[in-house]
Amino acid sequence: MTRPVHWRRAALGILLAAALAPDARAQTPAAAARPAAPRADRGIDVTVGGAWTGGTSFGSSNATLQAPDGSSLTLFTTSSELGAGSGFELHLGFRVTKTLNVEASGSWSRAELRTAVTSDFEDAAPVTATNRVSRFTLEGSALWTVLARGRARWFVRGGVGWQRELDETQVLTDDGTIANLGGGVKYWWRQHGRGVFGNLGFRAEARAAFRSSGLSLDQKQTRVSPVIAGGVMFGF
Amino acid sequence: MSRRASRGVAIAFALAAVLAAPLRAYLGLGVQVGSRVVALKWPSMPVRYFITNRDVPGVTAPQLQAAVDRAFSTWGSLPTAQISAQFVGFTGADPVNNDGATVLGFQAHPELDRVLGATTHAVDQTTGAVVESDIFLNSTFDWSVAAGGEAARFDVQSIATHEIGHLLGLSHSALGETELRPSGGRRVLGKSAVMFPIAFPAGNIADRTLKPDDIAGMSDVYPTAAFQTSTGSLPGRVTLNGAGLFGAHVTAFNVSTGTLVGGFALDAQGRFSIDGLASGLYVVRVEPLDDADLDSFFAPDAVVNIDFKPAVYAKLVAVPARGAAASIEIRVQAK
Repeated sequence: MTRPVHWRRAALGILLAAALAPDARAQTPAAAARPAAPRADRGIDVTVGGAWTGGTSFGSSNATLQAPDGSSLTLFTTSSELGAGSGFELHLGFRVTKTLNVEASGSWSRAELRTAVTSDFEDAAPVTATNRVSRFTLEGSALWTVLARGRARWFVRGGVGWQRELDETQVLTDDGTIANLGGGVKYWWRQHGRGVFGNLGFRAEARAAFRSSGLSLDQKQTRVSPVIAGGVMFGF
Repeated sequence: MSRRASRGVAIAFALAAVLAAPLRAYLGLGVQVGSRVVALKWPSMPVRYFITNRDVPGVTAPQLQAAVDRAFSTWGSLPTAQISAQFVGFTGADPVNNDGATVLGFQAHPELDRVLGATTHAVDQTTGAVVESDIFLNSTFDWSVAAGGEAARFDVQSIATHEIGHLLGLSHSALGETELRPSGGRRVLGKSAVMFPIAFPAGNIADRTLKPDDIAGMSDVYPTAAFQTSTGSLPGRVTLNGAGLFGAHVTAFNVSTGTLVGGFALDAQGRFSIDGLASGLYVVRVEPLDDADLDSFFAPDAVVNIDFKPAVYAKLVAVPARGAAASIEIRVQAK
């Protein structure tokens, strides 16, 4: 058995990354696990980019009165969701080994909380009440290169951090934790050049974000959102 | 303040000279002190009270005392309010009698054929402090203290809980819907406050249990330190064609918890403040009071505008855990 020891550790990561790297599935395990000598990889890389976060439904909730027989009389009905949001991300990566980087990341994004108010008992016009939420995150993560092929570095990444959500009037804040798990690719366009643009590439990533707390419109404590992110990457 | 039977129609409500305290969450009772309206409240606890030693069919004086004690305990058990009461003894005095003693008991008022009970206050006109408050339950009606209620009899504990809310300083809540009966009077379709002015039908015991609106209102009158530091306010104005709208009923609905708390626009600028709200995001709705209910909320000479359409504010309003949300303006349209 010649499979390198680190292949076993990478197995989960490869599965996660497979959806993003269809050609990787054609690799033999040994080849897939053998990171190419990362000559182009720098000790430090910085990624600046944007991210899209999928929306979340909070379901419906009725404003009710108690009827004499104990049943509920609906005053109005609400249906709530956090719409898809977008924002900016910054990743600062440090190479620890040929296959392992640690990253410090920060992000800012905005999304709209929406509550549709309908079926009013006294026929008030239907309204969708909104509040634009800002979210800030600071996160530490480990990024593991699971496949190096040419200029591409396929990776999986997992991390945890802190998040703060603010309503649009900035009177309501909610702090919580965030965890991310996903994978993506770094692709170096230019290598071994000089100056800021001497080592230039892009990074694309898909991940699941697990958030505890936050400005929500239901009582759930943890929710999961899909995130797609991409950005320009500089190596130093 | 009086409590109407569900078959009742409007009557002149005030047995004590009370006014709506301005800009309070809920609708607190107030008293005019000089040029100011001061919230009506007891200056110290416990509230010491007597029970009349009269029996009525189905309810003995000790049973009445036990039911009243449970009603006081309902308010006294609120973790967010500082309220306590002490039973002093039985008395032969009438429950509505300006004698310096707080007395609760049955009294026959056949002329008030749609009033289940009423509360009066004697108030220090210089401070607004309550010095005495009496409650009568109208023995013209049939009463019960049965644990599960009794058909065709009104529940003493439920009605006492409502009247004790008045005794402690709360006015009426408008969190309810009624309809006119063909035979006169109004019927409750639903409500979300013990302090709603019209009672559930005889046999119902739902008003033994306080609702979020009751809790917010009473906690606002007698707040604990924790209540003051853990709840926020939702202030704003209700306007019609740019002018303030007095008497509009404003409700805040917490989308996350499903709780409803109400308040009123209480001045000529249409300003309101719903206090005692848990931090979170709220849907805010405004509606006119029912014309048949006006005397349950405001003095007879108050000019209350009810000629506008119900409306929902187009923003989710964020209320902090302490302090106030950004003030909002809810613009309504004439009917």
